[in-house]
Amino acid sequence: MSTPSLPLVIGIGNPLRRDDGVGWRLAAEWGLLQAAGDRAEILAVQQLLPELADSVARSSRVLFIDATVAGAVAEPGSGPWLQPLPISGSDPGSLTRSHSLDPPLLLALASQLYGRCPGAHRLLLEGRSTGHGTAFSAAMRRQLPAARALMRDWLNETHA
Amino acid sequence: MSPERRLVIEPLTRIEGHARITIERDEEGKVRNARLQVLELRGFEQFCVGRPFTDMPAITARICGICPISHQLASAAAGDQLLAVGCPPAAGRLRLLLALAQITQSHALSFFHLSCPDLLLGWDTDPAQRNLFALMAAEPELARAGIRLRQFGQRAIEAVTGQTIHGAWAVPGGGLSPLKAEGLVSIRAGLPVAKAAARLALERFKQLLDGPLKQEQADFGSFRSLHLAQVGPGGTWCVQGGQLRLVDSEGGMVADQIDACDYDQLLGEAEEPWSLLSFPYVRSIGYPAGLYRVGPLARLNVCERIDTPWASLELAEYRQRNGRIVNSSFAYHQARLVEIVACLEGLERLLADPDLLDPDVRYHAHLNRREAVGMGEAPRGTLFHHYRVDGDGLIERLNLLVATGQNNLAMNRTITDLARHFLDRHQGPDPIPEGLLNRIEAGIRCFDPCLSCATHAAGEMALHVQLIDHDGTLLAERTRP
Repeated sequence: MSTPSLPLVIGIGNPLRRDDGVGWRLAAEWGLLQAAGDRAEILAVQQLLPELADSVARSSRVLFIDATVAGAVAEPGSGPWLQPLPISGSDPGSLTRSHSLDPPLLLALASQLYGRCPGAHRLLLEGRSTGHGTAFSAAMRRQLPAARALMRDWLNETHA
Repeated sequence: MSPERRLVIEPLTRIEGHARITIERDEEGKVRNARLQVLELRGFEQFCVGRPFTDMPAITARICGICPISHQLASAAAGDQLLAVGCPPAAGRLRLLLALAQITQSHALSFFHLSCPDLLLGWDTDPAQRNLFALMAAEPELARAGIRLRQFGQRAIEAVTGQTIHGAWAVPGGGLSPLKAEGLVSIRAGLPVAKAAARLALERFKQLLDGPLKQEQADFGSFRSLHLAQVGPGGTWCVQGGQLRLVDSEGGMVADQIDACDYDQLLGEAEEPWSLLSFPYVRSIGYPAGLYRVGPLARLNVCERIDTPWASLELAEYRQRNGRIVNSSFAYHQARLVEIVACLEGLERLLADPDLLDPDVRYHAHLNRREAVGMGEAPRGTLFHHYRVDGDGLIERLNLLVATGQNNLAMNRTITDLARHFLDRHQGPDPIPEGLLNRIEAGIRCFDPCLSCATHAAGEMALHVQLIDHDGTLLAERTRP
């Protein structure tokens, strides 16, 4: 395997289901604007797949961007949240389906298959509406500037 | 019904969709039949009515996240006919490229991720230890090969459509954009690694066939049936633009050179009250005797040859091992690997075609016909999109006949055979022994069914098996999440 190179940003979500698509949209936006220049690999995906383990293992560090339901990780209304992501706690036995991985399982997969698991963070935004459509809820829109700032901080390694 | 006599196995893991299996016993306690019951519905045939036919490639591609390209291509082919203009040669080549890449990545998913845990770790292993992670621990190079093949197929699709999944590219009259030179270079660069992965898989699987899986290939879901697929000129293996051929279990020609638009004269669809999945059958033989199979097994049975060198050799060896016409459902696995080779060589040939980068990829026309059938070979078998539209091009009637549905009778036959083989001999206290459950799952997995496609159901397939006595008493049931 080649030497670990660029940071990897993986935005997750369905862009046709309003707030659920925020990870996908932020990653796509960064990719289109080339906000990260050539300093990071940017992937916008609807779901995590086993083959992403290869990209994860080759990266220097990983940022997963996703929506979460209110109250799942912290007080509602206090998002977005940038959190370190341990791979411990993933349950390899739960990998019985082909396209429903979560970030800890993907990291564990990279570790097991390629012998390397980079440090990882996840950036979570609180979703309020996952109905059909492409417009974010007002609550989601309010989080976007802070989320973009956290993405930049993560890329520059200036996050807390 | 006494709950203590109920037996359920649920869910069926490592396949796409949700279903229940019911095993019925006769008065003597022997297995009468086993039924794969599909109980969910998404209703694409209903809610697409009234939509423009030009929207159908994008809408129907959303049926499935595994084979969206297959739906998109069949839909666009139907759209070509409604416009009555076909599509430019470069668009036809790019559609073929997409079809080959789709089959490669889908077969890789089926073989490496879904079936290899059974094939390599054994059916009697605890399900908790029979998964992709355990496979990675046992055979890491094989697991990495699966990932490389999936990546290759997905990146080829992305090079044409801009996305790995649900890339909206094919449209009536052609495609939205030509392939860029860098896309061609990217696909070509991935070919050697993909071919090495396929070679590794074939070598490892043949070792298994000569060893621990020797018995399975002979009697695992082996029964006489018809086989349906497209063939190209001279009976060559083909996935796009061919004509239908139907052969019997001995290879006798039942129908040949059938155009897609005549599919409903060849095939009927029966319904049963216990499943939302229809039961397609061959009309001339009737229901349910007109059982037929589609997909890799059928494609290799109906074709005379594969016209690329390595795949041709693999086909010859496959036939040497299994016979000219193969009726064991277990052979689907090896057939998938042979087809991966055929797809990779087909892609290699396409990439050498200088016209692949031709910028003319779309014809524009008004509606010129009111009814059309688009056909293609999806990873799991022949796929039909049948549209009838009004004068404004709005869908009046839509029928999607997908591969998993066409294998419905065969899947039911396979699990019935397996239940009889293992349950009728079973003596232990557990009414549904783990080994039986595992083999029923594996029997279904041979077909790599996509129930999301077949019924347009939501969610992944879970196994729910019920054992029912001759008087309707539920003897036992098991479920698996």
